[in-house]
Amino acid sequence: MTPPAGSTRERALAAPGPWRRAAQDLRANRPALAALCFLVLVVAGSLLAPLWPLPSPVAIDLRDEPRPPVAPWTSCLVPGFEPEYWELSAPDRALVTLRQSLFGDLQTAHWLGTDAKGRDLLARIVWGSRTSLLVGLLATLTSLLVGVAWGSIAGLAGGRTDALMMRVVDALYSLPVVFVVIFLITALDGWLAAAPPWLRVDRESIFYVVIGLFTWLTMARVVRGQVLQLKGSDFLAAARLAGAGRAWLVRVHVLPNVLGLVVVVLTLSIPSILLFEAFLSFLGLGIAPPRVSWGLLAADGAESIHPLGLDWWLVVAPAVAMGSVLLALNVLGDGLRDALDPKGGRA
Amino acid sequence: MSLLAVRELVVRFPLRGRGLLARARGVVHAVEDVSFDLERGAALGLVGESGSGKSTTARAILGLVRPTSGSVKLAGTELTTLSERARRPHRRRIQMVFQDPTGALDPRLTVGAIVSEPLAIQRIGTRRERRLRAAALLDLVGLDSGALERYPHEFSGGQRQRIGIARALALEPEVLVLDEPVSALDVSVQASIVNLLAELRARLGLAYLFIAHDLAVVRHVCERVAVMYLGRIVEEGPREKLFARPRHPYTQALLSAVPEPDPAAERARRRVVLLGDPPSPANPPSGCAFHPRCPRVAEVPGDRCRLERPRLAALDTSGLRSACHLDRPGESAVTAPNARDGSGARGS
Repeated sequence: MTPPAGSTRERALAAPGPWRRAAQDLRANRPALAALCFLVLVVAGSLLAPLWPLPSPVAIDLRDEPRPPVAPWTSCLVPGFEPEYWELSAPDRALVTLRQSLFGDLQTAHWLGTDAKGRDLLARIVWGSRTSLLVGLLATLTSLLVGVAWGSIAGLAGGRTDALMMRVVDALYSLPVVFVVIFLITALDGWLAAAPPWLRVDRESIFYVVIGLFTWLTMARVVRGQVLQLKGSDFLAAARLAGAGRAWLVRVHVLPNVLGLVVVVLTLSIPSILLFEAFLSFLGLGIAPPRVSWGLLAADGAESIHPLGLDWWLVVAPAVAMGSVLLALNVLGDGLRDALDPKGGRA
Repeated sequence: MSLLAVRELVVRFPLRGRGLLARARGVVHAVEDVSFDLERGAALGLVGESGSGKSTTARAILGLVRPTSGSVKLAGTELTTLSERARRPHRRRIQMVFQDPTGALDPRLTVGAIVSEPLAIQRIGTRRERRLRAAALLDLVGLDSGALERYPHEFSGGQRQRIGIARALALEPEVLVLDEPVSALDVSVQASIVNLLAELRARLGLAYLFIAHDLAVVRHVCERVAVMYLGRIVEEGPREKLFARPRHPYTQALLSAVPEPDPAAERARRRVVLLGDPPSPANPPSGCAFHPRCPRVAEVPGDRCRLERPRLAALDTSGLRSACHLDRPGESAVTAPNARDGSGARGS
């Protein structure tokens, strides 16, 4: 059977693969592309936080009340930078040195105002984004690695393995997460303080571990359901009839068919995890001062609402920062799902 | 030696409750003691109501479900005892076309990837060779090679079934198992797919195991027909014999339900209407499984239909095999006089 040469055939042979098509679809989706660019900027800005000519996020200025925002065009850069931070990692210290050689002691005026202790709000939001993004990244990774693997294995294995694995998920699910997290953080905190130095983990790490422990459950459930449905499908039977092994079935059929759902679950769960971090930090169980997180900023903002007056920027600025990131994540998630679904029109 | 020889195939499924500590609650007798031969290039139709075990028979032959006992030999190689790994090289000799063309095609793969997937799994050819082969296969089933880069949802039901057929042919099998290949399709499309299948068989020398409940389609495609009821073959034989003079009361009832195109014949048609539904395969009736619904059970003396299971055996030299006590009155101790005459009144 030698095929006759034809221009349609040649074109068909040269056509882009499914991944290229998905990328093309995403590029054609303006809102999703904008969201992606915005998120890339946020991540870059957050990772390079020490490099920007921002005031120190912890330098306290107790001369007066919280000061309202100053428009950048009235006052752009002012001298007075103090390299005052908590204990920074080596790359961060290098960035601080670079910043000092670039900008000297110049720093931005308080474009977003200051909090009650005179700390620059913009600097605190930029530094605080690191915590939120780390939490988001952690939630994504545990969801993808643990959740998808757990759900796929349970669904594919079936029978007793499946029942056992899903009972583990049910058990973790049925725990009241907030109380368990509160309990674990307070209990482990005390216990670790007394532990030998090589075992000493800081409270922030515990916080991350605890968040990681609970974020993959929904993903595992959803993926398992989808895998069970796929397992009975005829196209899997067809692949088995051609001699496909388990690895082939998972790689070629199961994972691509689960992917769209995974993206949807991620876009739904990351915002809730970010909010959860904010909530725990707000309660004083998450990130401990002097470090910053968006949750702590929101807590500060909430404190600023008092009968004597409203320092509105302390509420609005962190809320806008968090809201815009969550919105961008949702728009990007929608776009990804559409791009990954071959049925999604290219209209 | 026949190409595909199935002997005493039995498939039983344990019925179990849900949960960790569930116990088996019973057994579904999906396929019981099924034997048949399929010659090279021949077509055998397997007909019966839904739940009669046709599809399970096919899936057991293909190794998609594990047979409880029995033997499946493909060109002399016993398949049922092979491990998944050892079976792999034999896989390419027997392929399947599914009933629902939509569910049989992965919605996330292009048609080119779907059709060439069996080749990729068996590591045949380079990527480019496989794509060319996929284009040739699409050509063979009457689709344009422009379909290669499109997705299954962009095609109609009939075209999707053509894609499924192209994939089944990718490994150049000797046997094609067709599990109700046209029953999910629009009536107007059914004929074109049936004709395509007939043409492919003639061109490629394929052997078909054709599962259907539509007798007209089976009559068109297959030279031999086997009728299944509740997991067993009740009658099997050459198409002409079976359609002209069915011997088993169940076959007679099935055939009497087929409308005649000729109005005169249609008016003269006498329907044998079966009462009730087929019994549950989890709890099949004793003796002849058909006896609770058989319109002619009274013609067999005594309780023989309820007590004794009739054997599927050749009746004469015509090649027709049937499993009914009416045909073999002499084999039992309780022989009634004139039983031969009773069976002579057969026909509908």
